[in-house]
Amino acid sequence: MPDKALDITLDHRRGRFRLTGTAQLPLTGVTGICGSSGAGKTSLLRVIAGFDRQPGNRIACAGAYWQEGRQFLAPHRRRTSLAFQDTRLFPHLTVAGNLDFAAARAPAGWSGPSRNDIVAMTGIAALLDRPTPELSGGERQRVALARALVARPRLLLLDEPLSALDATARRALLPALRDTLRAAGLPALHVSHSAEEIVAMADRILPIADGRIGELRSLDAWLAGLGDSADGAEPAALITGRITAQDDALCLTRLSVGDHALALPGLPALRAGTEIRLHVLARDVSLATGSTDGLSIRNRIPAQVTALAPKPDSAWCDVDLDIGGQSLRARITRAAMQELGLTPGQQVAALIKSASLAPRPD
Amino acid sequence: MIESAPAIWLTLRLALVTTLILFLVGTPLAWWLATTRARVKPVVEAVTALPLVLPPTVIGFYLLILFNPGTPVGGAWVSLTGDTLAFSFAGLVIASVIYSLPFMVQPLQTAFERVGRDHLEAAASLGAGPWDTFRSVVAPLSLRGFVTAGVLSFIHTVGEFGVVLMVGGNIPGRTRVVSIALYDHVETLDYAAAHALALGLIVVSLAVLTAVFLINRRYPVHAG
Repeated sequence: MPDKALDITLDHRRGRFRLTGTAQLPLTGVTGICGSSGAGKTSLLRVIAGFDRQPGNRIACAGAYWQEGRQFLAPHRRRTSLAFQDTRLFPHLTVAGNLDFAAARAPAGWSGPSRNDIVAMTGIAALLDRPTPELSGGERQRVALARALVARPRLLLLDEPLSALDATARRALLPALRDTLRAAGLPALHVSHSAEEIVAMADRILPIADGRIGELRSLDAWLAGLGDSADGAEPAALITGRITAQDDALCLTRLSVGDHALALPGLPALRAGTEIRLHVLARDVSLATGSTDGLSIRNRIPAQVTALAPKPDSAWCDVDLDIGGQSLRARITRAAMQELGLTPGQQVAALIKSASLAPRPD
Repeated sequence: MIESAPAIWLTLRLALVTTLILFLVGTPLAWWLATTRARVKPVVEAVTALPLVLPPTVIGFYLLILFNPGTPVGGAWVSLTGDTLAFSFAGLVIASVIYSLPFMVQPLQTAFERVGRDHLEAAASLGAGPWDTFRSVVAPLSLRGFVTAGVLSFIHTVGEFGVVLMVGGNIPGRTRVVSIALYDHVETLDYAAAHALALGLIVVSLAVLTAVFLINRRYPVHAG
């Protein structure tokens, strides 16, 4: 087994619920765990954290067994802080008190962000003196996330950590969190049912469906398979860009994607230079072969058609595109494909309405 | 009132010592009951609750037999201290601890159960071991339970009669507590002294209970 991996073999039964399968998760970057609700995503995190001691499970972290037969490492010795979806802030402590609780038990010698950095990143500086029962759902999740980071874990477990935040706040926080994790070299397992959130964070995906752990896939492979699988996820693509400027007058954030520029509705909280990932649904991408003058659509990116996948017995044709090394996918009608006479290798313009890049509610 | 002073003093001392010992014994027992999944839990719960339903004289009777210097327990006590357990302050304390056990354990168990697994998991996930978690999360969240359990145990010990009479008898300054003294006054038709003690007990109990309910209202439970 590689030095830096979490090896999981589950044969987990609780009542009628089962979760089985194996996975080897690299202890670097972010592993997104996705699946419909009730599939077993949270159960997997609980087994890894040591909260569920079912005899059939086996967990090894970087070669050392956490659970194997009768051997069982107590949860408080695993250093896997969990940002719970229901936050579980200690009600007898203030926000600062909750952070102190984590800090007092954190190991010394850590290269990750300081407590002040974490407070700034999660945007809770103004909340520090507040009693936790007074906080709103979104505020509570921010504090829970900060508390999990202040504990200086070796593996961060995120269980729908931002589900109570509104879409705009979530979109602003996710890139900052990703940056923080990368700078700290802190691996994370991120459970979410939202494809947009997964795409914003993950380096690889572990799908879970109907109590079975699926095959670990790279983010690109997972995106390419979206829409083909039966899980109902929509075909989409990931575009990685860097913020170049904030246009305060027009409330736009400008982004460079390779040599191209994109504009999206403002994310004023993020600094220029921040890398952000956009989850672009195939149905929001249009194609043009001729002039695009006189269109209201601002985002026009030169693209090359790499593959065409007409869907028999449906109106649709999925078009894979290359935009300067990144891939994009457009869902157009088969009629449009025929009328435009699209063929692989052809140069087209990919059109993305800025409005479709606005943060989406779940 | 002066003649009742030794009885009052003895009663307060007995209730205080009993309550302190009950905190030491009852807290781990209540914690175990609140968290265990063992099959014997209902049995232990039933044994703990037994003093609530049994006539105090039943408990007193068996304790009296147990305290006899002829039994291993009673004999060991005599060889250790040179005194018998029966008709002594130590015997009264042991009897009171057993008799008031449910008044300590049940409020604590309820308080611990209210803290819930969720916060225990959160503490463990942040690196807190079991004892650390109890001290820094469970105890502060159960503060009301501790106040209620302590006050109920104290007042219940002050008010006991049957067990004391069986185990301790009626030795002035040694085992004659307020409730026994009151019985004595009634037997000798000294109603004035009986009134003083009886009214005193009512007033003190009422005051303490009111204080507890006030405190509980001022500091609502956090957990939930």
